[in-house]
Amino acid sequence: MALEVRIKKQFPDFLLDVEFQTEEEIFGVLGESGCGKSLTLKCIAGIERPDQGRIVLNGRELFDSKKGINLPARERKIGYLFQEYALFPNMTVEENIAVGIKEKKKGEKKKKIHDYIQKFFLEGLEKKHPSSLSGGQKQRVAIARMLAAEPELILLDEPFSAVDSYLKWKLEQMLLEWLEEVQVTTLLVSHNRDEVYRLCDRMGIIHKGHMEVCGKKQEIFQNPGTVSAAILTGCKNIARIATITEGRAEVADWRTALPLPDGGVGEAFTHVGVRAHDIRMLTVDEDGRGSLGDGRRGLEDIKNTEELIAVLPAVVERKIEGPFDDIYVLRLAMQKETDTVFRVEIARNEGAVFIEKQNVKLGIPKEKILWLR
Amino acid sequence: MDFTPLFLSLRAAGIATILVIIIGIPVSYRVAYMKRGRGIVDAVCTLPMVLPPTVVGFFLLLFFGKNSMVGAWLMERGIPVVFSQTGMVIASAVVSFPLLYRTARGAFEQMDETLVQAAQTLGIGEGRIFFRIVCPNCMPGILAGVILSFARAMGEFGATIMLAGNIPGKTQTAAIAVYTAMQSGNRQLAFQWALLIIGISLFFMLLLNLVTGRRGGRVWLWK
Repeated sequence: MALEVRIKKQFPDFLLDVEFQTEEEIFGVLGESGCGKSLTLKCIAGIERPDQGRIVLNGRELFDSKKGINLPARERKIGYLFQEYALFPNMTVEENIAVGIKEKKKGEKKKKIHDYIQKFFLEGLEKKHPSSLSGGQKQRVAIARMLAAEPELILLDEPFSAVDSYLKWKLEQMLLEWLEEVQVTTLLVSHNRDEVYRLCDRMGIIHKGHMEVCGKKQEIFQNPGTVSAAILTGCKNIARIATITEGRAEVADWRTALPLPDGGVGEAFTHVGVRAHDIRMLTVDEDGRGSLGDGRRGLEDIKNTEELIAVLPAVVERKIEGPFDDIYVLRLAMQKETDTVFRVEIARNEGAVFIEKQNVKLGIPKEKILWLR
Repeated sequence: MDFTPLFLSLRAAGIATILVIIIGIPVSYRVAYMKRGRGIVDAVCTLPMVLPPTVVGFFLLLFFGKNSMVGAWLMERGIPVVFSQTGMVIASAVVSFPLLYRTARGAFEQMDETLVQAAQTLGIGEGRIFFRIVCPNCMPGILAGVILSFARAMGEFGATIMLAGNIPGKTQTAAIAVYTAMQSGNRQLAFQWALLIIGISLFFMLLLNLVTGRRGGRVWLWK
């Protein structure tokens, strides 16, 4: 067990209550801003003090409220990459990296600094101050400074939020390579599901100060389990279950009743959800039968390849063109103005094209429905 | 014109400023990160700035006078405070303390606290954090406080005359020299002293602007 965290901290209008364990891995923490993810990192690093709980790193007790243990940040050996990097503006790149190196022998220390400068592509910038560096360079200095202090745990707080998107991809890959090289347990905190998915194997989701779900990323994205986890993993269509009777869930917003999943009888589901790209959109022919927009497959064809749990008549209200997808906003036929809308995303190269005001049918595949609590 | 009062002023203000730096910077750093009791400590530290200097002088007399324990103790060790140059330094230091305290505290409060947090996670000790990270990054604010404080100590009159008196050649400062000259009807001498003091004060205020001006401090310090 690399890192074990169980902490509680009460604020006037907010309770942080987080519990999770990591292996020696990159563990992702996904949450919207203000949910307490940065606060969790600060408690682990020793910058904030939790009210109660226990933090153990590689068998070392960093915090234990019962035993009265609370190691100061400087003794925890935890590297923290701050959102804005927190480079020391009065020091040069070289000095920033040197400041955390414990090595006492002058020659050894110099060699170490040089190694980090080289490894993080900072040659030529040694004597520069942070204010004259670009965003990417600053981040490399911050990572070099953090690794030079030889931490046992690395905390990354929204590491790419201050970086231009075209740089992000490159930095992400470099970061991944460096982390694989040093083999140190890492916590990555982000509000960006793609980032977390790309960089981590296991992840947790924090909502309003509480760690709701925790596990393998594929499983969480396939079956988020809670409403907030579904939203954070990018599910756009979520509806409340009105009542559950005789194995069927009545979803008023969708004007349909869905059969509960196998083994789902007796579970207290409150919502159902379906991702925008999982909805099949079909045109309605004159005889009222649906077919795919390009006319190649009809409703019957789709039914042969996947089982649809519901087919809902709807009207295209708006069509929004994304760079690679068409996004459709739809309203169910005969639905009132105030009711919730559906959002469907179709990759443009799939060829299905619909126009505004067009009558369509929405097919929801049984395998893709998310049952949520 | 005898320039002794000017040298006395400069020396007293110089020593007073050093005292204020030694005491004021740690105090303001402590108050900047204080959680409980901050309002009270802050009010007490600021008080000498708003009190009439005569009131400050009055309490200093009470505190360091012959009849007080501190005064008697110091007297026994041959360090008289009342009517002495030690008294001048103490009076100037007390009155100018709040100027450094408030300016430096503001600078500490405005500093990005993640710098200190980052330093802590890198394993740097508190003392090194203070001298290598906090102080350098707050230098414009601290310098501004030092200059203001020195300028105030140079112009100190009320508390000094109460505690140290007006002994020509010993405790008569430039500010007191203006007063003495007027009292003895020597308007011309008073005028000369007044002009000299204005010149010196103006110099320090220009220096202050150089240090705190837009990006001034930074450029001047490390770029």
